[in-house]
Amino acid sequence: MLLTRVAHYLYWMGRYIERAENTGRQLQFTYDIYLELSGIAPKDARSEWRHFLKVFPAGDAAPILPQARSSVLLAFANSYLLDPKNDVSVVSTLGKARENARAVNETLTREVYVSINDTYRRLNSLSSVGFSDESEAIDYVTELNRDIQSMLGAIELTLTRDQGWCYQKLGEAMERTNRTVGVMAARLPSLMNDVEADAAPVHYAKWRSLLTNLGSLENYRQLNGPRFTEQQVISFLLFNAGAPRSVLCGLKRMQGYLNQLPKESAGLSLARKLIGKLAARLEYDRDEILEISDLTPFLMEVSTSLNRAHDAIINADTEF
Amino acid sequence: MEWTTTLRGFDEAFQAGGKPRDHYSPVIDSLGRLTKQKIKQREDLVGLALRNQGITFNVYSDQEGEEKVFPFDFVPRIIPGFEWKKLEEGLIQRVTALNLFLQDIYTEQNILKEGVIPYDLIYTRGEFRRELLGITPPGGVFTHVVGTDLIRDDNGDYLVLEDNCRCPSGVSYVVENRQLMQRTFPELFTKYKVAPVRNYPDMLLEALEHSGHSFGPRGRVVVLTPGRANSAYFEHSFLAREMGALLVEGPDLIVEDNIVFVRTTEGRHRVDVIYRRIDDPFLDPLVFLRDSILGVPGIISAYRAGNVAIANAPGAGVADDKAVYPFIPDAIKFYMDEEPIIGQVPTYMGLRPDDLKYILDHLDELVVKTTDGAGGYGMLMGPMSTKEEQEEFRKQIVDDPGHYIAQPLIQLSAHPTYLDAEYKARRVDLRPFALYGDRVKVLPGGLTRVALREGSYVVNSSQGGGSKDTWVLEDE
Repeated sequence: MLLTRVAHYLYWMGRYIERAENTGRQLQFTYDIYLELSGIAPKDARSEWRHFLKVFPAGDAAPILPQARSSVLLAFANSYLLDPKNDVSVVSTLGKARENARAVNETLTREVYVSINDTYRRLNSLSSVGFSDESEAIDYVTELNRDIQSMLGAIELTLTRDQGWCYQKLGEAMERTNRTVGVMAARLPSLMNDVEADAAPVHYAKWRSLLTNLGSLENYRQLNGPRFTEQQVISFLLFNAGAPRSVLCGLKRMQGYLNQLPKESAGLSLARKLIGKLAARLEYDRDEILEISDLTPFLMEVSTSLNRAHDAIINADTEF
Repeated sequence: MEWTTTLRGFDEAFQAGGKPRDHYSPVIDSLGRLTKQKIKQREDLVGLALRNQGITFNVYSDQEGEEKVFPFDFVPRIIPGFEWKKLEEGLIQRVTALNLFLQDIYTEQNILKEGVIPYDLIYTRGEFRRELLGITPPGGVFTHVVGTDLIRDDNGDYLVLEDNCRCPSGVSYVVENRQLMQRTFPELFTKYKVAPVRNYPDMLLEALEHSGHSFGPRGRVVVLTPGRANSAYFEHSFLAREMGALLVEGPDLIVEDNIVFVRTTEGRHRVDVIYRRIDDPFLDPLVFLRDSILGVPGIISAYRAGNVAIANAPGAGVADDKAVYPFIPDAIKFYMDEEPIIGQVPTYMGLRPDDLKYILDHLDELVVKTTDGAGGYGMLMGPMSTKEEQEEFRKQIVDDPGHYIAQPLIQLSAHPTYLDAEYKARRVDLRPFALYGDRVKVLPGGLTRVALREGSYVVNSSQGGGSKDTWVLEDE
């Protein structure tokens, strides 16, 4: 038996942990690719950070992209890891994950709570000081990403597979799928337009950046080898049900979790319908979608449906 | 390493000449052999475990509402088995009497009719709930959980300082402190046979289920919390998890046709027993504070109809009112025809003219408390107070004498405590926890609170107190 309020907190906890993981990982990989490109294509290198800002919009709290190469990482790491005023910073999102976890502590295992609390506390203790140099920041972001992986491991290893689990994983899958759609929407237009103009190393670096930002480079290569083609990358990120960060995989996961939750809820039924429709479209209209020259409207449509499904899930807890 | 025993009063660990008491010798010997560096390492481990596990409390006066770690001192308080046995008997007697008293004053009122306690004393107590007159709770128990604060006088005799019959807190630290000690100082346990405390949640669940047994073989138990901002939220969450019960907030419950339901993802489910950690005034806005958003509208009506058990029962707080406290030994005699096994601190009551005069004439010697105060607030520690503070209290007492009691300053026993890399003597009290299900059971030991500031008598967590693991030794 699960309280509706607890379901709500677990769903958000899943979303926030996933968001923190995404921010930390993408910060690290954006920096890697920025360093790689900054010697050969400085304009493209700076664009990497602009894409990052599009994926993680922070409003007034967003850092201004510094001119000096040596200041870029510091500016972004201090803002996107440590700044509590930045709503999408890791310290903010992990803080929210921790607040949600604290509100439902009795439903979690000690291992899960301790891993969330410990990671947050260490991050929070740094937030008043900030990073003083690049190497400190890069070391920390590597460590942070490892800690978040351990957190996810604790969730995986210790939580009971019950309704609470489904809500938490539903939040995680929703956040991840949304993020994949967001990264594709931010990066694909420039990739598809510039493909002819780019020199081979830059071309590869940019496609690689898209995949690494979505944690999918190795998975892609196992399937498609070292080459990047527009069709293959898009197909992989949208339709490969086995790739953990593809859109279809996320939708399938959400369907699985939703099917284990109570059937009586109108909100959850609506979410099931919306997610089911999206999954069916990706499964059966694959060729049609791949022929679309500008995917942005399609991705926006997917994003809108995901947001409607999210609202339906969130409102489901007020039904009883 | 040096151990100081400089404070006046009874020393828990050392005899008058500075020699350790027999039951403390092995611990003092083992700890004395640890280097400062080793101790520092272990203290760091304790601190880390406390913070990472979120074993914290919130301080209301703290602007940021930040969670604080309740300081833990690793030198355990040790109570020999024979000593505990007497305490346990005394606590069972007292809790039984408190329950009989509550049953009586909400129904027959024999103790008032017989003139043992004045009517007007009870009827003027804020915690006496006239709305609940005539109601006997399901299972007949008012005080399912009682935390009794004990101190020791100069002779080492235990005295009851106060009872806590509403929502006594601190038991989660009892269990967690033991875990911490076992992890960080395992070698100390090899020399003693210490009574376990880990089973407290099972004892609590058993007592709660018993109060709901009329609803079925296993009544559905929930823990009702005011929420994360409450100072004892960690404990609420801890107990719910350990009992496998739902931790609910007011809006999670709904009352329909005098039945309490919990809102779940699968619809509503009936609730039989509510272990509430919300004070009476906030429990039901239809009966008590109208603007309370923490409680559940209609819950008192469901309780009155006998459809839900509430632990502790609403109205139980009158039994721990400081103005009622002086009458508890009489209540024990009245209901049980027994002499109190544990004594208590002599108390002067503002509402008695002779006592009032004595209080006003001896403000510089007495500890003055408001009858409804808690947490060490609203107190005048006469011997440590300034003339201005005494005059301020004098005015307040004269304005509302019935709202004040006064007691002589009892030294409180001293206990070695590790502070700033030295073992120093600090004052302690003890809060054992008694549970009332089919009968009264007492968890061995309890929460030892320690006043960490030099010279302080205030052991409350919100005012610089800490805690210790408390060992009750099992007799060989």
